[in-house]
Amino acid sequence: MFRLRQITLNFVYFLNVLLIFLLIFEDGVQLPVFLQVTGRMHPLLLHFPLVLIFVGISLEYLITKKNFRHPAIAKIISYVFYSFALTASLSALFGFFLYKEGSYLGEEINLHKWMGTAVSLLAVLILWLRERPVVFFYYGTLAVSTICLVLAGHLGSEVTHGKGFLTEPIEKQQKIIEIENADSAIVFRDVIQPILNEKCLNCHNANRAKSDLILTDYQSIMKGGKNGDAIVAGKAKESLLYKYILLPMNDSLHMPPKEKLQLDKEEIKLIGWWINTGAVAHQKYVNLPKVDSIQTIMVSKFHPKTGLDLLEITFADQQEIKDLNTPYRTVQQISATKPYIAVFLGSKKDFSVKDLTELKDVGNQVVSIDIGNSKVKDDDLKSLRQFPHVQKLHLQNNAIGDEGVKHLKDLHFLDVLNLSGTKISAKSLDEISGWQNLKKLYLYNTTVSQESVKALKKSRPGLDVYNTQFDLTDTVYNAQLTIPVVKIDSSFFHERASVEVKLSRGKVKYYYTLDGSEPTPSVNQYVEPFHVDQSGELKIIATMDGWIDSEVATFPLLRVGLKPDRVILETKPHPKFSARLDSTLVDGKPGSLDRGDKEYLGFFNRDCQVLFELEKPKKLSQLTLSFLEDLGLGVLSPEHLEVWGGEDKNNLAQLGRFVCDQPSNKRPAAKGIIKINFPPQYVRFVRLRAKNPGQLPASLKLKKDTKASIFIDEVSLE
Amino acid sequence: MSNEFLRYALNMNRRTFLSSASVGIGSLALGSLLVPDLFRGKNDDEESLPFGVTHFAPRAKRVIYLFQSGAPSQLELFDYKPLLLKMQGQELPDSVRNGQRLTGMTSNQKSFPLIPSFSGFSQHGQSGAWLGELLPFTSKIVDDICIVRSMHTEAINHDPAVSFFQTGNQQPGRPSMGSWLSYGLGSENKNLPAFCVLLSRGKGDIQPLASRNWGNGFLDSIHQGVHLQSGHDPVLYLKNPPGTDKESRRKMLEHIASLNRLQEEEFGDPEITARIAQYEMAYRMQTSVPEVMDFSDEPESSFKLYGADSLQPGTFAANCLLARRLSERGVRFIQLYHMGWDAHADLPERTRHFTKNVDQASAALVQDLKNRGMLDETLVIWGGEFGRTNYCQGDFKAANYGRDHHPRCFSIWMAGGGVKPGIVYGETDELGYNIIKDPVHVHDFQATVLSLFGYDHEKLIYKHQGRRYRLTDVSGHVVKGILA
Repeated sequence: MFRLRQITLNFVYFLNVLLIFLLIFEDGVQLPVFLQVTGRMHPLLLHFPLVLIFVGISLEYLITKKNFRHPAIAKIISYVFYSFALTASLSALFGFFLYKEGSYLGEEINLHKWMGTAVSLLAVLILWLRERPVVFFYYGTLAVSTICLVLAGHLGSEVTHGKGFLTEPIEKQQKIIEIENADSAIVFRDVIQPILNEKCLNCHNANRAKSDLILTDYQSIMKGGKNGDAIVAGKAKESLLYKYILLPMNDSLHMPPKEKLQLDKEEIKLIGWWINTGAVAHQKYVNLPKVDSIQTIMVSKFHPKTGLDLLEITFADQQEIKDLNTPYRTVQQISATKPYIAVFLGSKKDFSVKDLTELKDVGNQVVSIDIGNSKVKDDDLKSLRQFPHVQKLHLQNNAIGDEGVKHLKDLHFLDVLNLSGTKISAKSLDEISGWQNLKKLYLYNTTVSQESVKALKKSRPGLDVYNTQFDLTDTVYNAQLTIPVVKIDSSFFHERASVEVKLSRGKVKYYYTLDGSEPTPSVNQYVEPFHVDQSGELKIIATMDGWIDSEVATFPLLRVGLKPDRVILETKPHPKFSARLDSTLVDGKPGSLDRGDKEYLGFFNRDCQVLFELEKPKKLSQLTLSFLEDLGLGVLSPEHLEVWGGEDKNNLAQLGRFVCDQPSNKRPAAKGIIKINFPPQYVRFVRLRAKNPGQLPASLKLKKDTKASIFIDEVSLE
Repeated sequence: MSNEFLRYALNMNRRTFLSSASVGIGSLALGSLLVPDLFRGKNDDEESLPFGVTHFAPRAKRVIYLFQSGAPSQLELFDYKPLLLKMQGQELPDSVRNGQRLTGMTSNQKSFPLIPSFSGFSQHGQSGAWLGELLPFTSKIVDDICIVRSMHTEAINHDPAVSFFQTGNQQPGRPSMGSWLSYGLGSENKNLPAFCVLLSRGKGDIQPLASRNWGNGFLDSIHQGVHLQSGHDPVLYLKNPPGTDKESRRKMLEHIASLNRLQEEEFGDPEITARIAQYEMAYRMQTSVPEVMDFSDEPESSFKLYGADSLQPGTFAANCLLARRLSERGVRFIQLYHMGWDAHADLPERTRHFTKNVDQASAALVQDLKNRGMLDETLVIWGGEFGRTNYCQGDFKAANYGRDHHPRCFSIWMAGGGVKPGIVYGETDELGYNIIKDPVHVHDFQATVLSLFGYDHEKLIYKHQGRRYRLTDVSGHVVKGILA
């Protein structure tokens, strides 16, 4: 073991001698490439001595304690310090190699170099002193080495990461943009240099000028680097700095290098524009020719301090703000960067002045208050004085009159005032016209006349006044009421059907008929859900004063009577629309407005002829039929219906006949119902023939290949 | 904002402390590993922002999003393409389509004949924006709105596209836009949900909408959108059951809350706190919801403004009026969906029907907000989840045609809330197939909306299962050109 230490010691001696030698002949040293690799291992290696010296010192302290006095620990300490010396010397030497690559310049790197060397030499001294009875010197040297090492480390971090790296996060928070206005900004100082500082300075600073380019100040920038001029005034395209930024990402010359933070589009635009305008050092933005695209970038970059900002209001305590919030009052700081607070008390049912006075501790910060729709009275507005900085005030739909408005005159920052739906009159406008900061005034739904508004606009040209409405006399205005929505529990029913109208808001009235006649305000008015126990057609209409009556909504209601024992389809329905064939007609299930929903029998280009058979003759007097009409698809009402009946299948007499109206105009799909009454009589067989009109009315303008069809849903016998 | 792990780990009383301390030093070390943030200094990311405080000064306070579910056709309403008339019936050149993937509905179609709009276009307002003749009311407010003609999305079918618009991701499970804003800003009125959803339907076959589109995803469930229905019960299960009066309900809630608080102390699950808050809000909503749904204080002129449909609860127009009432009461995000725009066939008929449903009410809403002094702070958004193709689906029929889904370009409009009024942003090519100027991706749109509310979309994040999530996922740029 002793041998190993001896070898290490000798090696450390050798390294230090080499280091001193190199330092003396620094200028003459030419670094071979393979040594550059070792140089770049410096950042890796330097962490070892840092850790080892602290471990060593801790162990030295421990061994003075009784419990730890053990020869093994003494041995470990000795190993630790040998390792320390070895890594320290190696780091120093590698550091020197890295330094010789030449990309680092400046004050810090020199200091770092000497500190590193000092640590390396001190390490040898430590090894030497450890073997000798000079405890005081030994501890002293340890202390000095530690200090040197920490200092060297710190300097090293400044060299690689830039000056002030350590304290940067703290300083960053204190940094405030001093310039508030784009016009007064000096373009280079306030726009270009900050971009370079953020994105380029890491590699192009005085300490670490890659390609000999330094971008820390105007003179250095104009000096350029080893590849040529970074900036050619007036010619962005010839300026290397700009050219390299524009190179494609995977070009090795692209700047900033791929893995670094890139410039954004606007920054590139700004730099190009600055170069093209001559790349001057001390020119104010306002004096340079204006370009639209640049103007928008510049304006968004600077936030001018105006009005309230000049007062430098302090931030309210977050906890305090939180405590002021209740389920009925919201108090929020508007943004993280400014202290302003918005208060929302809108639509509060039991508003009282206390809701406002309780906010006096944040009175200075409040800039926006919404107490619209909250039953605020004139006197309540007195309390607004405790919010001298209010800019937006929403008072809409409250019983506030001219007296109340007077209480607002001390709110000098008022910018937006909403008085819609209040009781103020033209008198207030005289008062308001004197408020110089006011920019928007809402007067919708007040008694203030158009003339007074015009006069106000004239006296205050900068003020926007809103009191317009849609012109209701306009022809496109949609004044026809919506077709009634009706809920019927079952439109084919056995006992009765219940009918419920989905009521509209406002004063809409509904009138209905059940006998197929057109409903008018002289017939039944709908008040509440009702029942229907007879087959028929429910027609219903919505009316309201000042509005056009709705379209008539029609709903067939079919009472399912006698169920025939057999149904024989004497003509065949279209295979696609044959549902469950014969049983479809007596299944008690209403079909929808879709002909394909398997509740209809569809007959194309032919009539529908059905025979109903009863086991025993029954007394009948009525046949009801429900069908679909969908003119767009060529689905028509039957042209006419014939009902035949009798005891003998082959000898039936015509009982009744019904001719349907055919529509001449297109209308939406609907269901229809036809009732045929005939003299009561006993029958066993009933034959129904529904005549297909065959021809499609020309007025429908349907496609040529559309065939006329009839769709039958249900038949009921009574 | 809450860091559940931290809160859970800190949730320690004397007993649990002593018992875990007795396990030894090892568990303490583990404890410190579980609370890595404990010794972390204050950093400048969003988590240190107090609740409801935005990154920068907001321009908008509330959103009313008029979502046109099913995708209206931009070619009939907003994006005037006279060239389509000249090239009617001709084949869409492959060089224009450029390999765009198609839906299952037209992928086996052999020919893609271009089809012009059945509706006429004219210029309106001072901005001179072209609008289809089916939007007579929107034409009147054209100087108050900003039409974006260059929206594009990644999804091609309804559900993923709606999810993408609402949650920033095509796969379900992320929080909706309204939930994000509720999470960031909270509610202005704690008697109503910060995020309300209103549904209405047009006629015809209608693609369903999944309620997860207004879901809270991994955020606290208090940020979930609450669907207000038009029937007797606007919010399901909100009423007291028969025989329960207000008083006993109050007592019951207090007892449940104290039990829940015990659980919360023991487990520290944030869902328990959310649950307590939700019960409380539901209790207050028992009075606040019937009040907002009762339109009897609404003057007749309101109904005239919004059109006759607004008298009928559950229609789009009635929902627009309700949205205005909700936003007056401080509801942060009001999401309307009008369902059924999807016109694969019978596009003229369907578009006529749907524009009649929505045109007057949408325009009336903007006008109404403006009149009431609310438009400055209320952002109104109108648009669907994607556009429609410039070629016709199925056989070429000039009079009656359909258009398929088209993600490459479509139009939406926005108004108020800090959006530049009276402008048209972006441009599509002469055939209305590709964007040629200022494209706005869905994530860009979302980033812009967040920025109007004072949020940097890259910083409004939520850490869930080890990953930081944001509405705009990993992309999105604020569209500065449409900011006022």
